[in-house]
Formats: sequence, structure tokens, C-alpha cells
Amino acid sequence: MSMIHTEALVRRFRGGVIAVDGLDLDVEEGELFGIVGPDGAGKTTTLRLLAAIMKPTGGIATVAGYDTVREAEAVKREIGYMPQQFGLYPDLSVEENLNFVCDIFGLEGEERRRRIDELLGFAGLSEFRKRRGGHLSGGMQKKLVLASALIHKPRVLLLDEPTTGVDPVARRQFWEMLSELHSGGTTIVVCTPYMDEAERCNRVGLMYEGRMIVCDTPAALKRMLPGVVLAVSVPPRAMIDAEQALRRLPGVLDVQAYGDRIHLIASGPEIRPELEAVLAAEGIKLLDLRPVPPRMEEAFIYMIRSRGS
Amino acid sequence: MLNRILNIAWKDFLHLWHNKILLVIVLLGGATELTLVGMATGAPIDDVRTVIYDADGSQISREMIARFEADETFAVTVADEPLPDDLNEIFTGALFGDDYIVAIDIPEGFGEELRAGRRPEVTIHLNAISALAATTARRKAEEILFYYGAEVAWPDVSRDELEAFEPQITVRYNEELDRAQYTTPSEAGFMLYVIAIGVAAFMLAREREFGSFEQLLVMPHHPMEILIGKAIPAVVLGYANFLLMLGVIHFIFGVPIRGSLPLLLVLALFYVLVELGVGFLLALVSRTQHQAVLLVMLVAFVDVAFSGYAAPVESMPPAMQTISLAFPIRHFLIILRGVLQKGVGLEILWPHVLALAALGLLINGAALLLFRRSLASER
Amino acid sequence: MRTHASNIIRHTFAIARKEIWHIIRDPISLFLVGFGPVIMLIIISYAFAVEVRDVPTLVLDLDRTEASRELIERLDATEVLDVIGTADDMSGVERAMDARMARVAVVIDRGLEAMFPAPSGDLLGMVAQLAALAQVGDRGLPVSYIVDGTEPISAETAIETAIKETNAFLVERARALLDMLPSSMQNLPEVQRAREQLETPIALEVITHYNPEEKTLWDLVPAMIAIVLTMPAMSVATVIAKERDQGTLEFLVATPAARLAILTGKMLPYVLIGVFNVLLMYLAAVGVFGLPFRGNLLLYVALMALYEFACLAIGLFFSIVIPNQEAALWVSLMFFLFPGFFLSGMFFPIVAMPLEMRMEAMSFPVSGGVFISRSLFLQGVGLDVVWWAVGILIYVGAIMLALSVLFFKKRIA
Ligand SMILES: Nc1ncnc2c1ncn2[C@@H]1O[C@H](COP(=O)(O)OP(=O)(O)O)[C@@H](O)[C@H]1O
Ligand SMILES: [Mg+2]
Repeated sequence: MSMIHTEALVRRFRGGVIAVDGLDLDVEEGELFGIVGPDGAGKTTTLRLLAAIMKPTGGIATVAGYDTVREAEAVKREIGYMPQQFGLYPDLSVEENLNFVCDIFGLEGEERRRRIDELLGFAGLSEFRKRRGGHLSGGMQKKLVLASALIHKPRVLLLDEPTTGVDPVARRQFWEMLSELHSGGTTIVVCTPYMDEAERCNRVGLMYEGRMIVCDTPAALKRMLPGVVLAVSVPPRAMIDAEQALRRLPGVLDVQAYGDRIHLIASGPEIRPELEAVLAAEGIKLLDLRPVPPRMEEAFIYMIRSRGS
Repeated sequence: MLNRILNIAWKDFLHLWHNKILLVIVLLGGATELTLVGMATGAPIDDVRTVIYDADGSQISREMIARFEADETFAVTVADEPLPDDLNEIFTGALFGDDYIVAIDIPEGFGEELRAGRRPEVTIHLNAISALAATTARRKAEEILFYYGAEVAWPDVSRDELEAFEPQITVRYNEELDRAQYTTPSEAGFMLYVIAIGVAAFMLAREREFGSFEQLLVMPHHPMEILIGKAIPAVVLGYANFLLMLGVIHFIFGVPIRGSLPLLLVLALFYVLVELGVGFLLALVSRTQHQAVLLVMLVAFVDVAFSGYAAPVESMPPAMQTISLAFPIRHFLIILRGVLQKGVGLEILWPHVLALAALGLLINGAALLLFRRSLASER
Repeated sequence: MRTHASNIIRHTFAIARKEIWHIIRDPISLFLVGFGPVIMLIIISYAFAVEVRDVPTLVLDLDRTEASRELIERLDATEVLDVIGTADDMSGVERAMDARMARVAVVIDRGLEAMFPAPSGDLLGMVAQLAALAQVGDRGLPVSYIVDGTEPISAETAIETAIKETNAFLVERARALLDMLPSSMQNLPEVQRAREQLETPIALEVITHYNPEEKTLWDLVPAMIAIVLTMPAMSVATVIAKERDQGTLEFLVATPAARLAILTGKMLPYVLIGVFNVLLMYLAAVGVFGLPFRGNLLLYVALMALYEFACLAIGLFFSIVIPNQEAALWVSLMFFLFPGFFLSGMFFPIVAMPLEMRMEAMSFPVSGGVFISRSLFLQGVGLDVVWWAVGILIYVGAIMLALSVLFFKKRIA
């Protein structure tokens, strides 16, 4: 039995928006599962359905073997949930926020003290015990919520964009924390808009318009990308013109600009002569052209684009 | 500039529009509240529970009981056993099953003595758990006893002759002494003010609580523009309430509009503008809506106390009378009653209009100053 | 099952503790909920409970005699009326009343002094005239009062005082004249009758219980205690809506805290604050305003805590069914505060209504609180008398809490 299991899960909102549209998902025990997708794809709604704080309008979901509708409170005992916004009390200090969660889960005395110390150390918040939640930086707030969600050692962690609005250093720290939890055996589902984060997961699902378009390991997902990825270098002033010119080229599936290079998803390397010809016709000098390994981001953008057309 | 002001105001109207419950409450709250108040206070105090023990049992005493029964003020029960020594037993319902407000003891030989002109003594016990009910009942009982006693004791003196012995009383402005005619204008002045300061205070406090105030601050607005923009919804809602309430006062509770309606409408608008500053001041000292509502309550209570809303200001200690002049609502209630019931105009009310103007400058000036300071500190 | 119950209790205390932290963290609110009620009680009681006195009174004296001056002095000497000046004619009276300079005007027409016989000469004729004075007949008394009715309650008191004083003035003057008669005449039936008619036909002994001087203050203070106790309900009306507004509700509902526990936990600190307020206000009532407290203090505090609970349950319900703080605040403000004033008994005494109507009125818990507070303060009664109001409070509180639990979904909208 998988740790998280959904079948044809649907959530429709008043007004007709279908935020989750027939989701079938299985997450195994101990897995680190990523859900990626653009804003409005239905990630938050999915997590809320799994956290048993929202009722599905169709289908079923079980978490740790409990039904999220009939056994909602049992689900809540098994999970740690981290909402997308800061979910803790801005007027309470770090310590008070944690104490409150301990109160709820009935952690007392020595055990409580040890657990709080441990989690504060884990989250790097030991020096900020007395600081009010509202006065923490964005990254520290996220770590505090994670620490709160971990108080009762949940078997399942549901994290909604835990690193959005967090600086790169704090992001890295955060993911180190997740890796540690993961190696400790906790099942983790994490929503993120960042593709590089998706690469750290065991498996990744791409959500788009309420559906999970693909779901596999990062490596397998990258292999799904047809053709090759070519990195094109042109003079900086010619970037925009070059991008437009390349887009019109037959056999090109997608074009993305990355700083001073343009990444091109093409059906094959044989596109090279045509490419050179097109750029020459526009009077753009080709500085460099070489194949590069595909990235997660490219794989997803390609999949979303090819679906949209 | 006008554009930017309207832009700010428009945002608040949108907020109200998306928040229908709020809209309904702040639009209809005043008139609803006023109607309830008028109905609750306009009812006459009658059927006061009264128990009478008649130790005499004569024709005369029975007739006197009949007079009490015939009067609307009393709902009479005739006791079949003497009143106890401890009247608590009557007033708490322990003895006769109902907690009576009045207990009347008619002594033995009452009829005989009254006819002989020997001034028999009747005892009235009042349960003053409510002073108003007790006072009302006492006054009525005194009247019944006097006229009935005179009828028996002085058969040659007619009622007309007795009444001529009393001074002539003319009641002006509210001829029937109808309490609703008093409470409803009070409530209108009060609600007009509460809605205006509440809307201003809660809306600003909400923005501060959720940080959207910061957004307002980074926009290229002059503080005046922000303040005016924020004022518009409060003024519009307060004033809309006032118009509705005026309708209720006049058409449902029959309070006359003896003076100039246009004058009243202008002065009411003026008054909202004065009180608005209070709303801003409250909003500026509170960081959350919770604080704002508690402050609004406190200020509303204090205002009610000093306004002549429920008790005549003249009866207060002199120091409080002086302090009361600093409360705009005090002046507005005088203006409101003056125009409605007395039919007077500016020739008489001008001192109060001047006072409102002075207070308005003071309060709004303070609000603007504080606003600038809080802008400076938040920027 | 037992673990379930103990979970609920644990969760209740967890939430209550957190709520106390919130309150402590916000010193302005802490001050306002902790001391606001007693401050309001004191201000309101000072201002409202002034007995009607010093009603500004203007004199138009056309008689200008010793008698008219005596009457005016008499009126001025009362607590209720305060003579502020004289007018020259009726238009002066009109102006003063319109401008609210005067709320009562006494107009003494020519002929007041002339009503009384000169104490000389024809003694029997004088007795006859005195007897006739008691029956001034068609001429009427040359004294009239004009009263501003815009404030009916004080106007009624002013009218009562005016009539009483005028009567007393006439009676005293007449009696003084009768006393001047030689003792040989005192036993004449005419004289006896004249004396008799100077008194009321029935001697009336009025004994006012609980509040012997019929002071509004005694009436008002216990009522206001109940009314200002609605202030914590205002705070509770914000609590759920606030969590929803600030996004913490999402974390809270994803924990296994029981619904009942979340709700009672949020109420608990405010019940305690209510009890603290009751004690403070009790001290103010007894210490500052000199009210008697005749009941059992312990019972009083317990019943007021129950009353507070009923009010809080209503505030909580508003907080749950109304989608945001701002609207929840308005609803509770309109529901509690403003109607509360009119139950203070200053305008309408609910106690004087028949029982069925009283029960109806008391489904609004503030009425029940006012009734219980007054009964215990002034009458010193116990549960045997107020049980039915207590029953209604329990009923309302339980229903509102049940509805709150029912409507409070541990889910996101
Ligand atoms: N409570 C709600 N009511 C109505 N529509 C909603 C609600 N929550 C989310 N939606 C809609 O559902 C869609 C998916 O939203 P969400 O799950 O928040 O996406 P994501 O987290 O991937 O950005 C969006 O179109 C959003 O507008
Ligand atoms: Mg989201």
C-alpha cells in the first residue's frame, strides 16, 4: 500500500474552476516527491486535499492509509503540513509558536524541551528563540513553519512552495534539511515552482491546468525531451533578433533565452546548416554553437508548450 | 489630484462591494438599530404587576381597587392573605408566585374613616429593582388615591374644581412626552457618528493589519489626498445612514420636522466631516482591527455619556458640563432637536455651529498631523 | 473514548494558552479588554446616573408680589429646578426655550397674591375665602408652567416637582392664615373643614424597597456591569476571522486539534477576563458609587461568568459564519453594544413587563445579564428567583456553541 494514494481526485470551485482534474497519484513510503507546475496549476489545492483540510468534489484520496474525508482527523495526526503563506502567529515568538504546537500534540516536560532544542538546532533558529514570528526573515519563517510541522514526527510531510521568496543560501539550507528528513525515512511531498529543486526529488510530477501531465524520475523526464538541445551564442545586441529568427526555423520545437545564450530544442543536430543560414540572412554573427545536456526546465517547458498547441 | 483621491476612495468602495455582508450592515445598520430603539423605548410602561391586600373589604375599598384595575398602568392581583412582614417574599415571587413591583395595603376601617374625613392611611410598597418602573407606578398611584379620596371625602367638590387648584402645565416640542421622540433623534445622531468613525477606523486599521497600507505609502500621493480619499466612503456611508434614519424618525416615529430640512441636511454633512477626524485618530493609534473596535467602543461610550444622549447635561456636575462642550455630538444633538422639534434655525443655533467648526478644525488638524508623523515613521 | 476526551481538554488548554499569549502581546488590547469595561462603567454611571437636578428654569413674574416671590424662591430651593433668571415677556420665554437656555418656564399671572385674603378685618369672611381657595373654581390658579418635552424623563420629574411645590406653597400660605385665627374660632366647623381640605384625603405612606431614594444610579450600575461585559464578546468575534484573515487558520485546521477544543479554548481566556472585570466592577460599584451588594458574591461571579460565556458564544458564532473580521466586528457591535444601552432600564424597564414578554426579551442574553445583576445587587436574591433567566442563558450559550461547532469546518473554504 502506498503512503499517498489518489484516484480520479477532482476539486471544482464555485464559479466553475476545476483546480484538480482527475488526479491519480501514488507516493510510496519514504519517497521525496515533487510537484511542479506554473501558478494556478492546482498544486496548492492538491496539497490541501491531501492534508484533509479541503473536501474533494470527486474521487478519493488516502494518506497513510486513512481516507481524507472520512478519517480527516486521523490523517492530520500523521502529517505535517506547511501552507504556502506563513501559517504561524506573527505576534508570538519562535519559542511560543513551537510551544503551542507541542501543546496541541501533547508533548510535555523534558521530551518537549529536547524536541524544541533539536528542531531549533535543525532549523538554525537557536539564536532566535525570543524573536517574534512576524519579525523573522522570509527564510527563517519558512524554517520555523517546517520545524512546527515536524514537532510530532509526522510520517508524511506536505510542503507547499517552502522556498518561494527565500534567498539562495537559505534555499540550499532548506533542501539540506529536507534531504536529512528524507534519509530519515519521512515521506515528503513538496510543491515548487523551481525546476532545479525538482531535480532533487526521487520522482517529479508536472501539473498543468489541474492535471498531472507526466510523472517520473528527473532523469526519465529529461529523456522524454525529443531531439537535442543546442546552445547558441550571438552578440548581446542581436539576442532578440536572433531569438525571433530561430523561432521561425522549421524543426525547432522551442527557443529560450538564458543570459547571453539561446537554448534551442531541435529535432536533431542536422539542423545546424539551416540555422547558420538563417542567422547569416539576418546579419547576425554566430559566436558559438554546441549541444548541451537537457535541463529539467527545458523538459517541462517543452511539455507544457507542446500540450498547449 | 482629484483623480488620485477618487482612485483611493474607489478601492474602498470595491472592498465594500465585494463584501456584501459588510455593505448591508453599514448601510442599513443605523436605521435598523434606530427602529429597534424607538420600538423598545416608545412603549408605555403599563401593566405593572401590583398586588393589593384589602383588610377593609368595604364598598369603598373595593371601588378603589376597581380604580386601580381600570388604570392601564397597573395589572392588579387581589391578595387573599395579608401582606407579609418581609416584603421580599412578594417582590421575589416567593409568596404569590409573581415578582410584584407594587404592593398596596388597605387597612381595616379604611372606608369608614375616609368617608368621615379622618385621613385613613394606605401603605404602598414599591419594588425599586427598576427605579423607572417604581417612579412611574408611584406617581400614578398617588394620582388615583388623591382623586378617589377626594371624591369620597369631599363629595361637594367636583373633579374640575380640584384640577383647577393645580397649576396649568404646557409641554412644548414633544407634547405627549413620548420617549421615542427623544431616543430616536439621539440614536440618529449617535449612529451617524458611529458609522462614520467605524468605517474610517476599521478600513484604515485593516490596511495596516495586512500591510496594504505600506502600498498606499509608496504611491506618489500627498497625505491630504490619502486622507480625503479614505474619508469619502465613511462620509458617504454615514450620510446615507443619516438620510435613512431621518426617514424612520419622521415617518415611523412621528417626530416632526418643524425647521428647515435643507439646513439640517447641510449641518448633518458638516457634522460627519467633523467626526471623521475622530475615526482617523482612532485608526492611527490602532495597529489591528481588534484594537480599533475596542477603541471605537470606548470612545462611543464616552461620547454617549457627555452628549446629552440619555441624560440632560444640565444635571451633570459643572465640570462635566464644561467638558461636554468639547464633544461634537453634544452640539449636533442640540442642532438636531432644535431643527426637528423646535423649528429653530441658525439665528438660534449659530453658537453650536461655530463650536462644531472649531472642534472640526481641531480634530481634523490633529488627525492630519498624526497621519503625517506616522507616514514619516513608516516610510 | 477516554483518550478522546482528554485530547479535547488538552487541545482546549493549548488554544487557550496561545490566546492568552496573543492578548498579552498586544498591550493596547490587553488594557482595553482588561480595564475598558470598568472605565466605561465609571464614565457612564457618572454621566447618566445623575439624578434629574438643576433643570434651568426661567421666571416670568407678572404678579410681582410677596406671594409670587415666595413661590419662586420655593422652586429655586428644590434640587430639581434651578431658577436661572427672569424674562420680561412671553417672547423672552419663547426665545430662551428655543435656545435651550431654559427647559422650564414658570409664568405667574397677576392675581396670585390677591387670591389670599388679607389677615385682618372680617375673619369669617376670610375663612369663607380660604375655603373657596381650595376650590378656585373657574378662575383657575394664576400659575402656569411651560416645559420643554424634548427630554421626557427629566421633563416628567420637573413637572412633578412643579406641581408638588406649587401645591405645598398654597397649602402652607393658607395654613399660616388659618393659624392666625384666634383660638376661639379654631373649632368652628368651617375652619375645621378648611384645614381638612388642605390635606390629601388619604394619608399615603410610600415605602420604597431596595432603592429607597429611587436613584437611577442604583438601577444603572448593575445593568451597566452586564452591558459592558459584552466587550470581550467583541474580541472573540474577531478571533476566528482574524486567523482566517492572516492565514494561520490553514495551519491550525491541519493539526488534529478538535473543533470543540479550538472554540472553547478561544473563549476561555475571555471568560477569565470577564470574571476579572466583574470583580473590578463590583469594587467600583460598591466603593465608588456606594451601591449595596445584597447577594452572594460567589454566586454573582459565577452567574456573570455564565452570562459572559453566553455572550462569547454569540460573538464566536459571528466570527465563524461571517467571512472576515471587519464584518464580524460590525455585526457584533450592532448586536451587543447599541441595543444594550436601551436595556439599561433607563428608557424602558423590562422587569415591569409580563413574564412571557420578559422571557422573550431575555433570549437576548444582555437582558438576562441585566436582570440577574440587578436582582443580586439590589434584592440579594439567589438562584431560587433568577433560575429561569439562568436557564435561558445556559440554553442560549449551549445552542450558540453547538451552532458554532457545527458551522466551524476544519477545512479551508
Ligand atoms: N478557494 C478557491 N476558490 C475558487 N478558486 C480557487 C480557490 N483556490 C484556488 N482556486 C483556483 O484554482 C486554481 C488552482 O489554484 P492553486 O491550487 O492555488 O494553484 P497553484 O498552487 O498551483 O498556484 C486557480 O485557478 C485558482 O484561482
Ligand atoms: Mg500555490
